[in-house]
Order: sequence, then structure tokens, then C-alpha cells
Amino acid sequence: MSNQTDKATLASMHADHGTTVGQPFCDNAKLSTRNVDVYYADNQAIHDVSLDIGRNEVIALIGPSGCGKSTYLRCLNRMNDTIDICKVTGQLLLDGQNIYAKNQDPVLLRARVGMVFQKPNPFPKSIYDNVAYGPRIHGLTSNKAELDDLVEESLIKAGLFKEVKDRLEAPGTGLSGGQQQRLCIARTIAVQPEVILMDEPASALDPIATAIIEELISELRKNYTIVIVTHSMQQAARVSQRTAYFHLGKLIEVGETNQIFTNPKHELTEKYITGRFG
Amino acid sequence: MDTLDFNQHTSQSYNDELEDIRNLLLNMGGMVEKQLQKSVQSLLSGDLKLAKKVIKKDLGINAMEVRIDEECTQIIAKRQPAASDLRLIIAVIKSITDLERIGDEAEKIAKNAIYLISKNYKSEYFLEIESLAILVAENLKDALNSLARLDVEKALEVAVNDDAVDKAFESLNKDLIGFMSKEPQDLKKIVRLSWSAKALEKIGDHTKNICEYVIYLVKGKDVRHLDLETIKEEYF
Repeated sequence: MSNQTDKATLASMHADHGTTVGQPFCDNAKLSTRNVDVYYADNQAIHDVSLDIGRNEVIALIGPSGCGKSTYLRCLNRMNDTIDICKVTGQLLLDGQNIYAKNQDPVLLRARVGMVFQKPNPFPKSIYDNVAYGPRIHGLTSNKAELDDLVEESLIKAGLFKEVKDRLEAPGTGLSGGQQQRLCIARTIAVQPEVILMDEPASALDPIATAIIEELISELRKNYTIVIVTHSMQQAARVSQRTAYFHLGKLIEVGETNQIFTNPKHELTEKYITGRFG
Repeated sequence: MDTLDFNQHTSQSYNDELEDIRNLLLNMGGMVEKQLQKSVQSLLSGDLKLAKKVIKKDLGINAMEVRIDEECTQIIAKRQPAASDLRLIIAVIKSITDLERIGDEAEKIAKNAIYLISKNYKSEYFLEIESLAILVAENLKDALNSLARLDVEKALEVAVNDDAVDKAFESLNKDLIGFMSKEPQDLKKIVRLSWSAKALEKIGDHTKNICEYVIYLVKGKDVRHLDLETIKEEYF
């Protein structure tokens, strides 16, 4: 531990740089957040984060464990509403509309802003029903043929159709880890979201399954805006156009991914991505 | 972020690997510096044994380049370096290419020395060759120091000084061309002098490249192919 920068030094480095370095804002924002604070009871987990997420971009949120990146991600589709002691303040807009408006139905919001989790979590149902579940509850199709088409299209987009087309009635939980994660992506896509939030979507997968998911992310970007939280620096470098670095609940630096990984501006970003702490 | 410390990684073995690479690079720099000095000395003093030694020693420099390249490849494969670590590895890979070529130029000087010694040739222009060599050797020493200390100010200074090397070379070369028409019977020997001067000028160029990698490593800016005024204004 002797050669690591100690916590007090890191905290003081941050105190010197109160505001975010780089370009947190963009012209073509799909999601726009300003001065976001998040509290778990009396503990403040996110401090004054302002960040735009551009339309059809993949933005990677990186940072050490406990830095607030997942908490911030979960604010974007109000997943934090499910935690009683969690309070979110600040402005969060999706296409200019307040995500936290009183008349905003969180279920409808989550249809527009879908989420894929770290561990694949298919429902204990068939592959077909996993994908059809969302469209059914949201009433997106009017008959079986339309639903069949939507399920097929979603599985194709998630790059899974070829592998499962002959066993759509088999249980989703019987698939391999990588296939289950793609099934979850198909399930997310099926409700025709505009934004997909991914919380370490490949951390439980082997390198091949990871490569397939990353390829898929690049493909999905054409139609969706994607926010990905990842602990893998190489993954962030490979899949995203912009990268945001969080530290102790603050947004330290945002920039073009190419720049962040070759020439970060903030000392904390440098120290994190070069493995000097975290 | 002008202060770089490559010794603060969580992984001590990563610190050690980067430290090894830097040490090897500086060792190679030292070897090349000696080769330059000895090759010029062999030419000026007509020391055949020394010239042959320089040629033999170049094999060691080539081997060093291959070894450092291999170690850099291993670091890239195992550590996936980023930011300043990545720039360090890139700067090392590029610097050793230039150092190896400086070694080749020193070898050329030694080969010219062997030819001239075989013809028992001495020239009044040896003095000018010596002055040019002193300028070049001084710049190389400063460039290697700037690399060791990551001193961008010094690196820029050396890059600026390369102009003086170019001018000294042009003047010497002009004199040698005049000399060729005056002493046509010594044409082949004078051409060897001219080649030696050209080798020194090229060493100057490789030295300047190394300085550009130092600026890239420390400042994260690629300043190749930019004129010095622009570099000074924009990055210093």
C-alpha cells in the first residue's frame, strides 16, 4: 500500500478541482442532467453532477467502486425510486421533459429508458415470453402475428435469433450466460426504448460473450442512446464515444473517449485509468 | 499534468516493469552516445581498431532494440497501459527506433573511417567535421537527459538547436563540394567525408525526433511536423 496515493491525498486533490473538467455538455442532448444530488438517508452519494448524454452516443461511466456511477445511472430511469431512503434532487430531462415530474409514470419512463443489469436476469419463462412480456403489458401489439414479429425482430437486433429460433418455447434460464444477457437486451429492446442503460452488462461473461455484447452495443447505437457503467477500462475505450469519470460521488472529467484514455486532463482520472488506485 | 510518476501503480510488478523499460532505454541511449563519440574519434585519429570495434558494437545496439521492443510488447499485452503509461510505451518504442538508427549512422562513420585509413588520408576538413560532431553529440546528450528527467523545456531547446546542426552541415558540405572540384584526384575520399558529415546531420534529426517524443510523453501532444514557433506558442 505504501506506493498508492492515500485517501486523504485523493480527497484533497478533488477539493482543488470542484468542477467537472472537459466537456460535460453537448448540443444534441437526449438526456440532460443538471446539479444532480442523490442522498441515501443522510449520506450524500452524488454531489452536484451536471452531464448531457448525446443522442445515439454510447457514453461510458467509469470510476472506482462506490464512486456513484451506478447510482447516477439508476437516476436516469428512476430505479432509485424503489429504494425508500433514496432522495434525488436537481434537474433530469429526457428530450426536455422532466423525468421526475409528478405526472411522469415511472413504468412508462422505464419503457423509454430501458435497463440491462450486471447479472443476466431472465424471467422463469420461455425465451419467447421473456421478450413478449414487455410488449404485452404495454399493449404494443394488437395480435399474435404482430407480437411474433416484434419478438423475432428484437431477438435479431440482440443478435440471438439464429441461436434460439428453433427453441423459442424453451426456458430462458436454460441459455448460456452470454445468451441470457442478450435475451435481456432483446427484452429491453422489445418495448422500443429510446435509451438503454447498461450496468456492467458483460462483467459476468467470458471474453467471447463479452465481445459479442460489445459488438452488439456498437450496432444498437444506430437506433438507441446508450449509457454504460463498466469496470473494464478497455471495454469503455472500445465501445464508447465519450467517457465520464466519477470519484467519491463527483463527476471529475468528461471527454472524448480517445482523449480520456490517452491524455486525460485531471490527475484523478489519470491515476484511476493507469491503475494507481481503485 | 507535467509531473509524471511511473512508480505509483497499485501493482508493484507493473512499477518494476516500467522502471526496467526506462532503464533499458537510457542504457541504450548511453551505448549509442558512446558509439557516436568513438566513430568520430576513429575517423579523426585514424584509429582502425576503434572503427572496427564500433562496427562490431552496433550488433549489441540492434539486439537492445529488439529486447526493448519485446518488453514493450509484453507490457501492452499484459497491462493494456493507458494515458501516461501508454504514452511512455509509445515514446519508448519510437525512441529506440531513432536510437538504433543513430547507431547505424555511427557505424557508417566508422566504415568511412576504415576506408580513409586504408587510403592513409587526412584532411584539413577534419576540424570542421569535429566541430559538427561536437554540436551533434552535445544535442544527443541533452536529448537523452531530457528523456531521463522528462524535461520538456530541455527537449524543446535541443529541437531548436538542431537548426545550428543543419546550418553547420550545409556550410561544411558546400566547402566539401568546392574541395572536390579543386582536388578531383581525391574525389572518392572527399565523398566519404561528405557521407560522414551527412551521417552526423541525420543523427541530429533522430535526436530531434527523440525530443518530440519527450514532449509527447509529458504533454500528451504530438508535435511532429510542426514548426518550432507553433510548438512554443501552443504547448509551452
